[in-house]
Parts: sequence; structure tokens; C-alpha cells
Amino acid sequence: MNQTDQPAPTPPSMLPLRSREDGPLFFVIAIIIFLACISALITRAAFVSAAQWRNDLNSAMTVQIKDTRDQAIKVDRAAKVLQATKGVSSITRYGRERALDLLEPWLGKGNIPDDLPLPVLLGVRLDPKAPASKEVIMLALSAADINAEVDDHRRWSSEMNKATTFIQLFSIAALGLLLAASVAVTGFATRASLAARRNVVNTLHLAGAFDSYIAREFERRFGTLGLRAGLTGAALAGLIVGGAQLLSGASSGVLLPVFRLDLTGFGLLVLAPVLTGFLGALTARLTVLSNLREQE
Amino acid sequence: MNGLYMRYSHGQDVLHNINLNLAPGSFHFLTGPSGAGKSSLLKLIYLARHCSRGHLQLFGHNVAQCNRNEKALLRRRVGVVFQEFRLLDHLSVFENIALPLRAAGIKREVYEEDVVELLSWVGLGDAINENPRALSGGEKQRVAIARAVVAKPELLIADEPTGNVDPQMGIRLMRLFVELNRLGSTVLIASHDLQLVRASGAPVLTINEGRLSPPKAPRKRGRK
Repeated sequence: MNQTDQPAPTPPSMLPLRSREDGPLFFVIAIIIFLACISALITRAAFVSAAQWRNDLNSAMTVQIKDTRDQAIKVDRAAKVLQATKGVSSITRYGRERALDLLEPWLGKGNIPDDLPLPVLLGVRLDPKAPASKEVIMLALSAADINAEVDDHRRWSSEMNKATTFIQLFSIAALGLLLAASVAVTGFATRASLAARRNVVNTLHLAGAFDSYIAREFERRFGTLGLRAGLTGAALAGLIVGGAQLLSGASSGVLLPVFRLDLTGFGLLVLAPVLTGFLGALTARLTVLSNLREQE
Repeated sequence: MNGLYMRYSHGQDVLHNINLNLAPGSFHFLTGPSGAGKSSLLKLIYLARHCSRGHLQLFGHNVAQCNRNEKALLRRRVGVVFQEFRLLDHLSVFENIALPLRAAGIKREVYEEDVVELLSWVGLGDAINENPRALSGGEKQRVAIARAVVAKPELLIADEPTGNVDPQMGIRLMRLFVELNRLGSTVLIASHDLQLVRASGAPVLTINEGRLSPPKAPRKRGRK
């Protein structure tokens, strides 16, 4: 027994602390996790934006009052009718100024005569819980003797759905491939590490160590390596995304919705290294166990 | 061992019809020319290799029927001195010797004193924290021997254990083996050193071209 009062020092790892294979592996995993984090944030943003876009399109309609005679009276009546329709939550009037604004890119400023009749638009915001259908709104307007065209944005919605589904699938595929690459690289590196440390494995094996004991040594090593590399990659991704968020801070976020580092985004960045460490440890364990079985 | 054959991968048999019974507490030498199959036979006994045919029983267990953990437990009862030492360069001399005890899950505070004592016994008391790379061939061999005996194995197998040490240290190490044998360990030593073999008076197994000759009649072991 140790007679001294001091606790016995922790025995060193059975594996060499450093090996030539570990350095490049660290960088490869860090880069993969960096890309995976960016991809995960884009995937998430794609889902959030898609949901938002769909929601915006599905919860709004545009009513164009075609009557040019007694237009103001017809618009007032249409607004009252729509406001009273079940499933409509609010109405926004877009007057002549708004119509001129919309035409300006095509016709230029000041090129439209004041006496040229322009259609008046009404923005209809629908009740998200029980939205009114296009047919209900058309019926209500025609019952009030208003000649109007109702656009429920369906054709835009369909195109938008296709685009967002493509972005979502692409992001998920990229994320899946990066995770698979991470596992494959760790497995490959573990095999290389195992080959480089075959003397250690053989000596432990012949000394009567259980396979699980030997696997645990590699599991710890590669779990820690994965965690460290994952932290580096995630931190780098956080810096890039945070920087981009700062740069685009003044913009409305319509064109740069992906660069948002909110609580969920931050959670993804924290999760990535933990997952990498876990996958590194698991891959190392399975590789070592299978290698030991093949050895005999 | 009954009718044992062994081959590497898909090559030819390197051991042929080996029949051997090492009685508990016995002391044997194994001799034969280089390439005769001494190391292969030892590898079979310390479970580094499978036999291709035949029946191997170790400590009353049919090895073919043991699972991997059971084999690991059997290996813990065998101490091996490898010809090429197999010391781990990233561990200190102390850690190398304690390796079988650590692999068996024994705490450092339990074995620390025994390892230090054994180190002194093999004349390496000052090298406790040394790296094996800093040691001479003879010192490495002593570390390898200390590692093989530290767990007080029931069977001690040594492949040319005195090949790299001076005659005086050779005698000292042989005494250690004899002492272990007296304490109950079965000892099997492969050696080219015919002088050492004859001086020991222990029964001699001779292997040639993978075939084992019946043991020669034991002579009285010479006390050194």
C-alpha cells in the first residue's frame, strides 16, 4: 500500500499522448464540423424562412377593385364587406399613391397622367386559425355588386413551395453527407491510429486486457479529439455567422435570412461538438472491437 | 496439448502433431534450432495464436470453447517474457511493469509497493521513472521479465530471457524463475543457451522442424 498521505497520481493513458495521425485528423474534423455547422444553420434557416414565406402567402390575399366609376364608394363598400366576412382579420387599403409606386419601376416617375384611372388594391390579412377561402371572398364581393379580382397568391405559393422544398432537401443532404464524412474520417483515422499503435494493442491484449478495456482507451482518445476539433469548428462557424449577422444587421433580413444566430442556432453550435465527440468515441470503439476480433 | 497443428494464414503447418502436458509446478526448457517452431509453440500456449487442428487445454479450460473475455482471463494467469521485449516507449519503466496489473483493473495503490520492490530486485531501482528507450538491451530485458512476473503468474513463459544480459545477471534472473517455480508457478523457458539449460537440470523439450520430441529425463536442477 502507498504509505504517503498524498493521493496516488492518475496513471497515464496506455496510448501515446500524441501521434502524427492526430494533428491532421484534428484539422479535418474541425473543418468538417465548421461546414456542418454552417450547413445546419442554413438548413434551419431554410425551414424557418420557408415556413414564414408559406405563412405570409397563405394568410394574405389581394383584392383588385376593377370598377373605375364611383371608385371611392366601391372601395369603401368592399372594405366593409371584407371586414365583415368570416375568416378575415384585417384590411389594408393601397391608394393611388401605392399603385403609382408599384408602376414606377416599369413606367418611370411622373409619366402617368393624373386622370388615368388606376385599379385600387386592398390587402386582406386572413385569420390564421380559420382563413376565409378565395371563393367566399369573391361571393361576398359579388353579392355587394363589386367588380373585383381576387388573387390568393396560389401560383406564387406553389413556386415558393417547390423552391423551399428544394433548398430544404439540399441542405439536409449536405448536412447528412458532412456528418457521414465526419464518421468515415474518424473511422479511417482510428484504423490508422490502431495500426500505428498495434504494439500497444498487442501488448495489452497479451497482458490479459479485455477488448472493452482496450477499446475504452481509444474511445476516450478519439472522443476527446472529436470534442476538441468539434469545438474549434463550431466556434469558427459561430464567429463567421455572428460576423455576417453583424454586417447584415441593418438589412431587413429578407435576402439574408440564413445568418441568424439566435438561441436555437447557438444550441446547434453547442450540440455539434458534443455529437462529434460522441460519434468519434463510438466510431473508435466499434473500429477497435472489430479490429481486435479480426486480429485473432 | 493433443495433436496440435498450427499455421500462419494459409501457409503450411509450422507445428505438427504437438502432444505436450506441462504439469502444474513443473519447470521445462524448450530448445531447438532457429526456425524450428519454438516461438510458434509459445504463441499457442500464451494464446496469441489459434491452432489449426488439435486440442489445447489451459488451466483445465478447453481454449477452443472459451469466449474472448474468458481467454483474456486465462492470459492474465500467464506471464510472458517476449524475445523482442515489447516495452511501451511512451510509458515509464514503472508503468511498463505495472501494465498487466492495470490491464486487470488493479488500483495503483495496491500494486505500487510490489512493483518498486521488484524493480529493486532486478537491479533497476533507480530507473523507476526512466523511459525504456533510455535503457540498454539488458535493462530492457530485465524490465520485460519484471513485467512478466509482477502478477505472480501460474504459468511463466520466457522466450530467450537471458539472451541480452551478462552471465551474472543471467544467473540472477534464472534464480527469479526458480523462485517463482518454487512458489508454484509452472515455468517454460525457450533458450539457445545450452550451458544454462544443462546447468539447470530441468527437463528439456526439443523441437525440430515443428515436431516436438518427448522430454528428456529430468536431471537434478543445479543450485546457483
